[in-house]
Amino acid sequence: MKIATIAWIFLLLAPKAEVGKAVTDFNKGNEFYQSGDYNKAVEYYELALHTGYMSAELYYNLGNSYYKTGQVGRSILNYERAKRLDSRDPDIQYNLDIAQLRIVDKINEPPQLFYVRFWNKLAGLFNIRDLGYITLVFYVLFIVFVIVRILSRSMVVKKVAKIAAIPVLVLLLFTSLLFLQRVNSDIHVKHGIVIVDKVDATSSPSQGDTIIFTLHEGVKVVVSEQSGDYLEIKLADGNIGWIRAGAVEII
Amino acid sequence: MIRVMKNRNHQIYFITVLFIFMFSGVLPAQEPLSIRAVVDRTTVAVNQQLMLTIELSGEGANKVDYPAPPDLGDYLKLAGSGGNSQNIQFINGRMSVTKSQVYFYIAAMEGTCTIPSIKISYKNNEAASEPVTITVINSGAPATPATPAPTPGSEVDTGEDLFIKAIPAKRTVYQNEPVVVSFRIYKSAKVNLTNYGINKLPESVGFWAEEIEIGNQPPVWEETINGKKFVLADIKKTILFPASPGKKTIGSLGIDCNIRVSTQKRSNDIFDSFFDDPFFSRTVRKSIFSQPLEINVLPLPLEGKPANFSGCVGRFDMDAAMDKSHVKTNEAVTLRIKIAGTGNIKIIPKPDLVIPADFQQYDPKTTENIVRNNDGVSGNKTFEYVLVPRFPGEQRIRPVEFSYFDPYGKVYKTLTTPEFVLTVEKGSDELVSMGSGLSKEEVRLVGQDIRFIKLTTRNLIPGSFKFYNQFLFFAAILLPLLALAGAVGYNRHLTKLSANVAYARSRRANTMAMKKLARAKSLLDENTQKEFFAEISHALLGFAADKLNLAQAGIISDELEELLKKRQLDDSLIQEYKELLQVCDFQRFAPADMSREQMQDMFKKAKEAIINLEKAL
Repeated sequence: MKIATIAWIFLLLAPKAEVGKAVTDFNKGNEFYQSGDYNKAVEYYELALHTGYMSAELYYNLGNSYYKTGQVGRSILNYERAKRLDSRDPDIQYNLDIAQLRIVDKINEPPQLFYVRFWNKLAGLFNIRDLGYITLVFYVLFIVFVIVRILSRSMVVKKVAKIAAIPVLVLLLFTSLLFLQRVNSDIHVKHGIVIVDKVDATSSPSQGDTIIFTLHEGVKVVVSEQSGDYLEIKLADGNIGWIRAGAVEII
Repeated sequence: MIRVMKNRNHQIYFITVLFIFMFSGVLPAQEPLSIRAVVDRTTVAVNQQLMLTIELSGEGANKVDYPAPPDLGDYLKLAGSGGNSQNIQFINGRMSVTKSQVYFYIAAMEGTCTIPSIKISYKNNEAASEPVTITVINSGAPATPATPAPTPGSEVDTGEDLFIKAIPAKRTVYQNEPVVVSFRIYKSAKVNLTNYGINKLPESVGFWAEEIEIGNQPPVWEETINGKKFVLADIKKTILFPASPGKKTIGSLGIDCNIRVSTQKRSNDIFDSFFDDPFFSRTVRKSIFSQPLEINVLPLPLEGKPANFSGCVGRFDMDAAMDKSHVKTNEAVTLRIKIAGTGNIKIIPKPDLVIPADFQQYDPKTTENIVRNNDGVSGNKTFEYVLVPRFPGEQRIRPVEFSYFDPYGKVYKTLTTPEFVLTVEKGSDELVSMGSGLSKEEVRLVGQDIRFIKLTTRNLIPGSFKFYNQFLFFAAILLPLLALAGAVGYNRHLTKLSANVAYARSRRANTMAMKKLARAKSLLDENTQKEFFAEISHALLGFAADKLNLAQAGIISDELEELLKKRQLDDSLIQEYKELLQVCDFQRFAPADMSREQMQDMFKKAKEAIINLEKAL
């Protein structure tokens, strides 16, 4: 009886303890970073992530440490992860841009139509959580207007509620479209970053096949399929090839 | 008309083409391929030039490359190649191609040599030239003059009495180390040289060449060589900087000389010397050439090569100074770096001066002072930097290094300036006009690096966290929907109320009755007995009327009883209700004194009756 109670208490407290450890490791990593020991800093930040907890700052600092140790691929990977958690932090974007300058490959994205560009840019301003909150706010607002319209006795209030509900509905449809698209891509589209110096992409998932192109550290790819130890990847310019699974880490 | 003309034109073309085919089938297209080697003379004196013409003709001649000039050993040295020419002729439908290439050789050693047979091939056709034998003789033996108009009988000795030599200051030099080559003319007393002109400049592939000015009248001096008196003059001096290591050849220099030769050769004549004047002599033209010169260029040693090696070879000094050490902000300072010495001054690079970003800076002004003399090239190069300090304080400019290779000591040397320290005081805010409209300094990006880490972290969330998978997210979607459903239900209820009077009255009956009862309760007093019972009666009647949707005014208890009975209600309930109404009526119109308790009791009963009826209906 008593043992069961203690176990329960532990189960309830366990997450708190992990968070505490993550914060401790984070601070230790910061100390090593500031003293210039970037390898040690990487070690501690990775330990902090090992607790199962994460934050934009943690990924950002880890990205910085990898950058300082010269591992551009891993630094880009962690900046991308940090960006997923906090899409509007200017420091994350700045450092990501700097790290991307060190990528050897220049992949030309085919030019897109202006409204596609506009749409992508707009979607890129917000991460999933922001979009979710925005969508929820419009959703609640819309329903409030509808309720007011239904219940109000005053004809004026009814009319105002009706007029106000229309633009809110348009915004709601717009944001929920963005949100659903994002949720869909979050579930189905896996992005990866090349973390090895150089990897050859072949035409099929086997060694010794024709090499189609060669990628270098830091390039972002879309991972579309897996077959054994090989991943099918797609580049921004539309090229498709198979590479070793170990050469790419999913964001 | 035009169409006809066109047709005729076509016919003409057709016929022409036909003819070409016919002839090409019938006649041999061309002569077979042949090669000829032709020399301008077969006997040549040492230091004289031989011209070899290689002539190709026949089929495919225009497609075959010229053969390489034959190597003639030590006897004749290749001095260069002349022009080539190509000649295509059509004679009676035959095409003949002739092309030729000219090579020049300089005789170097006495003896006999043979120009070997030169072979070429084109499409299985081979051709070879006849070998030619050349005799190289020493001076003294008659040499065929090279002049266009040879004068028979004249004996102009040039082998030993008139020649040019290319004299290098050194035969072995380092890469980029200057070597002075003098082309010296030797003339014995026998030769009467009137004037000369250079007809062929030496080729110096792989060298950077600088000429030393000599002027029209080169200095002349005398020297005795092997007991023979010679007059010497340097007619051309070149400073050569070899650009890459290896064995390099400097081509021969050729000059045309006019030599005066006396026409009459009268022995022991008293007038001999008298007549030995221009009037009685004539001029012979003659070309002489210097031997090609080979120079061995050593690569610069790798050992001890500084990282910032400038590429300069020679001896240098560096001197650097600032014109002021104390200055006010926005006042210009000049930093002058002067590199002086011997060597290739022109290739001295701009020093890698690192100017702090706090300075407004301009491109340096570069001035060169170059002197070319027998020792090579010397001089100096000055770099002048104009700096305008923008902020007060002590500014330091890091020392500048310049490294070069010293070929005499065979070591690399590095010159270093001292560190420049400049004390800047606050001056007027106005920028001294430097032609630029800048008044404020923008923050200049000196280096590029990532931004610093975050020192705190908020919102540590589980790694598997997905916003759209959370319970709260779904709750936030569902709750407003429920609220909406509630609102719709409530609205439907309101609509029913307004649309159905009976339903509305029935729904409101209880509320109304209770209101009346509440009012009755406030009248629960002896003085207001009448009003009390009136209210109770109203409540009872009104409730029943509302429930049954009747007009309250016209209702009487009997009628009510019948209607209630129709609803198949309990008889006792109806009776009780009826009795209560009767009591009320009685009390209203013929009031009898009633105690407060009785009235209370009455109130209770009425309330119960209404509740019971409500339940029953």
